[in-house]
Amino acid sequence: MKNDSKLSLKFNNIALRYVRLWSGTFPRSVAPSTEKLTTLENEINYAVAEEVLPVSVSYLKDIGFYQQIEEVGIEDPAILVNQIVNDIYNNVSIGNDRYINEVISETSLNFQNFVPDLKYLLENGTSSNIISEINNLKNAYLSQITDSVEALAIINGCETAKASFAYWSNSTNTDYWDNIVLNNFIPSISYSNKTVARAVSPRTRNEIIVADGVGAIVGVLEGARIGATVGDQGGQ
Amino acid sequence: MIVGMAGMTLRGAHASAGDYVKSKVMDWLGW
Repeated sequence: MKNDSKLSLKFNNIALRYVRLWSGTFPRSVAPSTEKLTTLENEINYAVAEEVLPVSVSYLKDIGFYQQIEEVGIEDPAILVNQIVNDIYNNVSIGNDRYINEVISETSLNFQNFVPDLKYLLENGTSSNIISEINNLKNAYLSQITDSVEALAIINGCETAKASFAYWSNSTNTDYWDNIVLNNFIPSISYSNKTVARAVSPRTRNEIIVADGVGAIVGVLEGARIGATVGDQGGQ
Repeated sequence: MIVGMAGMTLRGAHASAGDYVKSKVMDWLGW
């Protein structure tokens, strides 16, 4: 994140608006309406995009990604990256599940089976053998897939999920993110009896790992589509 | 496929951070 305090303030302001809309008091035992929940999720997704995407684009530049794109014959890598960024903004209210359901309809039947299988494994797998289970799933599907884009999507989805699992299993990383979201966020609210979980729960962690894996799959499919549109000679 | 890698990085970063922040805000709101 480029500016932790700014990020915290942004989410603080979003959340505060919903506190006032809902009841103005803590705690609330009644669930919000689906409409209100969706609106909040959309606001958060947009705010996250505003913070994450510029940092990610800078990261791609720093590691030489633009240069690699130029080496395959594309003169202006920024145009490509901007297309991807704009696509995320245009679909920012669409969650990964809905997005993958839309793009997956154009893939093979084998690949369409792979995505729910990976999600189920990530949501229900046990920590002791999750890495080998992901590898087994990846190898089983790669042996059935003939399309190179789908094969890369499978590899990226599985490898990203493994990396995400390792990342979120490290308490240093979870403490870092908890500190950003909570320690900067909560103290500015004058409320004394609210108890907030200070660690990423296993359920939450699994959801994030699924989001990472599915996001990687969508990224490859989407990137390949964009690449084909503009004539990505290095990829098609 | 290099463009796919860029998409993967950007989409993955947004999805991961978004889900994390959402879960934390929901926890905090008590939803």
